[in-house]
Amino acid sequence: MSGSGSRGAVRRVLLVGEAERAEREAAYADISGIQLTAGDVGVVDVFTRDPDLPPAVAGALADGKTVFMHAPRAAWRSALLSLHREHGGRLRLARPARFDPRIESMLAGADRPEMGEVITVRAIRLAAAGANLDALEWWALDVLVTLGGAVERVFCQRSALRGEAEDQVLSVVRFANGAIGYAEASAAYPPAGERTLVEVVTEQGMLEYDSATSPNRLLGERLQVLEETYVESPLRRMLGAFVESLDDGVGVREAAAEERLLELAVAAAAKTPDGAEAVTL
Amino acid sequence: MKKLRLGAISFDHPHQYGWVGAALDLPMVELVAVADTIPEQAEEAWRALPEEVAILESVDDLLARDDVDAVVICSTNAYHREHAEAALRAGKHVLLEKPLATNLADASALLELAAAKGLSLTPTYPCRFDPRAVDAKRRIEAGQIGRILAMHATNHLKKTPEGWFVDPLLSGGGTIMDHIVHGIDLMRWFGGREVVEIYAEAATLARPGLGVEDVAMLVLAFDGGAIGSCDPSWNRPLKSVNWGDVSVRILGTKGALEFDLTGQYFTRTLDAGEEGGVVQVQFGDNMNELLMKEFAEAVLAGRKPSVTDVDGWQGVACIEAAYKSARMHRAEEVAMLPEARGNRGAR
Repeated sequence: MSGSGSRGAVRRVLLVGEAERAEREAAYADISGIQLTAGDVGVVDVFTRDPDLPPAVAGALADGKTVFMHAPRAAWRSALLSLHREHGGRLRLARPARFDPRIESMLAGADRPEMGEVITVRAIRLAAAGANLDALEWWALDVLVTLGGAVERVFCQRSALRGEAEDQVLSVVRFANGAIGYAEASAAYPPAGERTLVEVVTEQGMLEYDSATSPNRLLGERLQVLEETYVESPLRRMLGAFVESLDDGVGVREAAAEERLLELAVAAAAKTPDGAEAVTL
Repeated sequence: MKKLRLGAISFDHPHQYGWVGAALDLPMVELVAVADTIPEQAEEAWRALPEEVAILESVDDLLARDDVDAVVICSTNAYHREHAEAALRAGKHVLLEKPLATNLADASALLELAAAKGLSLTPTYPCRFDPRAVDAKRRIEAGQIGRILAMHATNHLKKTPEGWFVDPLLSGGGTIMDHIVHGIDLMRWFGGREVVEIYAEAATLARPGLGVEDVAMLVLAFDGGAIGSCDPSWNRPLKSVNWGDVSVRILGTKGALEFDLTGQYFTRTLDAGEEGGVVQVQFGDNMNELLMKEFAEAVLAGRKPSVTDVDGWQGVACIEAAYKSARMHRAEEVAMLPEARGNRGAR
C-alpha cells in the first residue's frame, strides 16, 4: 500500500540496527517520499541494542538530523532523556502501543463518556527467552501512558530470573489523576506462553484484551494461537504518522507525549532498590 | 462414624452460609448449633436448618455447650480476636474466616492462646483445596515447571462490598484487608517460600467516597529471589458475567502454570426471564466443603489441619506490610514467624 507519507521533498532515511530491520524497510518502502539510503540523510531510524548508541545519537542530533528511536535499552534512557530535552522534536520516540489497533480501539472505548474516568490499567507482555525485554517493557509502559495519562509515581522491580541478564520487569504506577497502573514485561516465559493482556477498568465499566483467548489458531504438533493481523501493520502506521508529523510540523507536540513515556521509562529503569521509596516524577 | 460436632458463630460474613452448607453436607461433621447476635441477619439461613440444630442468640451460650468440639467463626473482622479467644478458652478448635485478625498483635495473641490450649486455629483458605490448585501444586512438586521464578495472582471482586466491609473500624480496611490473603497464600503454598517484601499502591477509586480502599496493586518479593504481584481490587463492573476471579500465573525454569478458580464454567445465554442475559455457570467441586472435610478429619484424628495458624499470621503480616507501603510509598519488609522460616520448602 502506498498512502500517507511525505508530501514534500524526498526524505532520505538511514536505518540503524538489525532489530525488526526487514519490517522497518518494508514499512518505509510503503511510505511515499521516503528513500532508504546509507548516504547523507535527514532522518536516522534506530532500533538496536548496540551499547555505544547514545554518543551516535548525540552526534546525529548535533548534525541536525532527526532521530527516530525504537524501544531504547533501559541503560540508555537517562542519556536519551537529556538529549530529548536538549533537542526537542528532533529526537522522536516510538509509541508502539499508541499505534497498535488493539490499544487504539481500547482508548476509544475508554473515552466513551458513559465509561467515566479510568481507575486501573494493567498491561502485561509475556514472551519467550531471547525476546527483547526492552521492547516488551516499552510497549507495556506505552500502554500505561496511552490509556492512563501522565504518571506521578513508579515503583519498579527488575529481575534476572533465568540468567544474568534482566528478563522480568514489574512496575506499579500512580497516575497524576490518582488511578493505579501495572506494567509487566517478561522475556522468561516458555515459547507457548507468549501473551498480551491489557485491562482498563473505569468508574462504570471495563475493557479486557487477552491474546490467549483469540479464536485465531493453528493446530499442528501443538496448539498455536495466532497473532492478530492487519492490512497495515502497526509499525507502518507508526512510521507513517512519524513522517507525516515531520511534514506537518507537529513533531514538538508529539515529542511532549513521548517525553512523558521516556520519563516513566527512566524511572522504571532505575529499579527501585529493596526497601526503597518509589520514584516520583 | 465419629463426627466433628460443630458450632457456627456469626453470619456477619456471608461466607458462613457456605461453611454451614458444607457442614450439613459432610458425613463426618454434625452441625450442632448456630449463634448470631443479630438474629435478623441470619433468619434466612436458620429457616433452612434441620430441626436438630440449636439456634442461639448468644455466642457464650454456644461456647458453653459440651456437645460442640469446634466452631467456625464468621464475625466482623474487628471481632475475630474476641470470638476466637472466647472459643479457644472454651476448649473449641477454631476455623476462623480470613483474615485471621486485623493486626499482628491480635493474630499473635490468638496463636499463643491456641498453642497454650493445644487447639487448632485454622484460617479459611479454601482455595488450596480446589482441585485445580491441588493439581498445580502436584505438578510443581513433580518438577513439571522447574524452579519457580515468578508468581502472580489476582482476586478481583465486583463493586459490591457494603455494610461492615466498608467501615474501617469494623473491617480494618478494604480490598487489601479482604482480598490479598487468598492469592498470597496460594503463592506461599506453591513456592514454599514466604513473601519478604511488599510494595503497594492503594486508593478509593471504583466507588469514590467509600470508607476504605477498593483498588490496590502489590509487587512482591519472595524469600529465595522469586518475584510476583497481587491485584485484589474490588473494581469489577456490576454487570460483569462473573463475581470476580482467583487467578494464578506461575513461571518456572521449565514452564509456566496458569489457572483461574472461576474459570471452569459453561456460558448460558437466555432471552427471557429474570435471569436473562449471559451467565457463566460454574461447575465442579466445592472447595469450602473440601476445606471443611480436611479440618474435620484432622481434628478428629488429633492432628493439625494442613492450613495452620502460621499461614493465617503470615497473611496478616502481608496485610500490615501492604498498608504501610501504601502509606509510605516504599517497599516494606514483611514480618515473619520463626515457624514460617522453619517451614520453608516443606510445603
